Amino acid sequence: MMPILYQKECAVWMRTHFGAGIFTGFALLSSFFFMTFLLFFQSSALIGVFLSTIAMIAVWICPFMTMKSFAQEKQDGTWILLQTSSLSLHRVWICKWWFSCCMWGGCLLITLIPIGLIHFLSHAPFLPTFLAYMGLFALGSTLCALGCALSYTQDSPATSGIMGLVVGLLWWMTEGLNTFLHPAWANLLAPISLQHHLQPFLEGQISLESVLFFITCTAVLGTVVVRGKAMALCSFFLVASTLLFAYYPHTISLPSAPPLSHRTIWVLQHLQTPTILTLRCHQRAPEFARMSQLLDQLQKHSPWIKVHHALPAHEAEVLVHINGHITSIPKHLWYGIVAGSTEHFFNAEILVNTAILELIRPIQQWVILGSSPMPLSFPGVRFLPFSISQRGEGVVVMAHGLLSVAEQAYLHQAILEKKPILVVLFPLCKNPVRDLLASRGVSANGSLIFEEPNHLSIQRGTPIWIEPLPSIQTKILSLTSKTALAGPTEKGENAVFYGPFATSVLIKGPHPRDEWVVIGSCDLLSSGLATLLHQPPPTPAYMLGIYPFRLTKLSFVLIAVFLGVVYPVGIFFLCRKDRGYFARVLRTHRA
Amino acid sequence: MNIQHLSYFIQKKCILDDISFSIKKGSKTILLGPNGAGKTTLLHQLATGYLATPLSKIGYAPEKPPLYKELTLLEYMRFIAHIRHLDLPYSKIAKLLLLDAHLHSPLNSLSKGYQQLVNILQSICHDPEILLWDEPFTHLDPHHVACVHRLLNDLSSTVLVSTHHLLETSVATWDAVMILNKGRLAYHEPYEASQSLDDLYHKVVR
Repeated sequence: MMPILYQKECAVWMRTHFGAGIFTGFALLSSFFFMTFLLFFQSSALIGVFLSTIAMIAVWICPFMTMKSFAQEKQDGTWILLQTSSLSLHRVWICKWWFSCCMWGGCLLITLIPIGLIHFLSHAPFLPTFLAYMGLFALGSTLCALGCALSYTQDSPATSGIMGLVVGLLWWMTEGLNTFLHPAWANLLAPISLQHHLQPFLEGQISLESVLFFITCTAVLGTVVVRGKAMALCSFFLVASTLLFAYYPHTISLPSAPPLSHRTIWVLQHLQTPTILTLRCHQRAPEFARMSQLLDQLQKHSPWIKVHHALPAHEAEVLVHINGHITSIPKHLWYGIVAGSTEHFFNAEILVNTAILELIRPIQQWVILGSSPMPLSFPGVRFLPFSISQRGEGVVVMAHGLLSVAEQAYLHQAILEKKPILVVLFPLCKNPVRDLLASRGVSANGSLIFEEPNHLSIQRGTPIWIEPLPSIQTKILSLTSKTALAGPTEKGENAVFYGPFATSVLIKGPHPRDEWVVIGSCDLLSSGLATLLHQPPPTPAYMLGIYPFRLTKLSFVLIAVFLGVVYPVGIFFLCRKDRGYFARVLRTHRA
Repeated sequence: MNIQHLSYFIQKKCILDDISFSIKKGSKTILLGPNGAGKTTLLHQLATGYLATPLSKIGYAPEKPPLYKELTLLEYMRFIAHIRHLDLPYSKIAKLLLLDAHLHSPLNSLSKGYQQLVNILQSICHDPEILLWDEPFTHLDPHHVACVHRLLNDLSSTVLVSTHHLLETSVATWDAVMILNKGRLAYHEPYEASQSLDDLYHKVVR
């Protein structure tokens, strides 16, 4: 039964110019955005940004893919054929909805070429991208269900399409709307936001809550069409489950924030510099509450800290400004630590610790460069670690391959002045820092042996260069308590560390030298901490661009010509009405 | 076919006003009435669930042919056959209505007359118990009208045909005549061969 319905739907789509128009338009649009992003991101960060844009395009394109589903049948009078047939309404709905999903799947296939290109260039892991595609498909399916439901209520495809677009956009913008609402309303609305549920997938994670949300929305929207008792009952249970998932964690008592460590308290008591500290946690209220608890503790220990809830509460962003007003602090002293994307808030104290250490960095002996691998992802926050101080006796480089020109210049200067340098390398980065150090004749010696969690010891004379492993996951899994990591032996010697694991060791472990202060970005920190706790690391860091690559101008032009011209034209010829691929398939089927 | 107190409103406007009638099984009834009398609405209501007969056993040819115009005639008939679980001798049925030359033509390339024939074809192909035709003679040439009449005589279904084309219908043998006027059933009597439909229509409607 289903094949004939599919064939009919396919013929209705692909024997007009509409199908070719949709696919070609999508190819053009996606290529345009891809090339635009490629100008700014020459790293795997492009994948996340591009797929987020594809999600936005889905909101625009899905209504046009579903507007004909029922409304056209009603307008042409063919609906009566289906009504008087032996087909049940739920089969008709499933068929039409699934056909729309397949159309959306076809659109996603179009994006595989540019995404594949990025993977080829950057060697980024595939799994997060695959999960992001799953999320996009789930999003498209839900939007198709919405489009089908609206199409069912209308007699005109145009009206149905416009309604689908308006409702879809409103639904999509729920997330943005939350920013302006009271936290209570924002918390209430967050679980029905499309973006909220798409985000875990785009970050390379599977969220059961989000999967349930998309299934529930599809079922509920299907009930609008089918209206059967069984369907309604199924929808009811799904809605109940989704609500339970969405709101239940907010109502139970969460474990309180971890107490501040002695080190943090010590640091707080020695704060001497006017600095703005920006902490941003995930939007969820419980985490925000825990962050607030931590900040309250901070206030208790330092008379200079004042927690300022000036930003929209939904963002859960808290400004801590010390020793005066924000506006009175010279701009060159403004810097902050962004503690974002923290799904696992158990590391809240680490984040606070890190932030505090960052606060006192100007009075430490070491200057930290490149501690912000993703400044682009947090607009409004500028990282200027280079401008903080040049008084450091040594340099710690968190080398993500994203050092600014100024930071590289400072590194050059440190090399010339023969300052001790600690480099933390990440295995999969095509890292310019290592090349820079090698070209300057900077070599490393000594090693760190990680004997057990939170304990470090140093061995002299061990070779320190460890070859990068094929993937971070492999490295994390293969780490044992006796794994040797490269590290410094004593002050004045250079060292190289590998991987986020090393970062976390430096942060958490009782480091033999207090003056070796290393600050990493939140994602790297949480990766490292997760490793320590034997948990899989969160993946956002990998999605946010630690896999850079370089394109020559010629390569860029070639890619632009291929994706902007050849690719859409090829898709048009593939889909064209009379002699395209689909027309041939349908003809063959007929014969 | 037994209808009792059928009323239908669109935006509080009464389209069908308490209509009751019964039609004998296997009989052929012609439904007449001026514009806006409610003929199309009545047939649509009967075709979409008002009758006790299962929908799959009703054949309905609406005024506007329900065609997927991107499909060819053969694909369309295959589609109809599939959704009604039929094993149709397409070519035989098409030949009956002189459509066999157009089996591989897209429906949007057919003339309106042929499209109307396809409409009739889809309504009878599953051998329905009740057949409802709304203006079946529209756009048909005399030759095809004769074909349809021949077909009508051969059918064993209970037939209700709504039309304005009195001249084309005069050659058919009807069992009963119904006349709707302003949403009400103004006339429902057995048809007599000596009776002129034209005279009867004008007499009742006036």
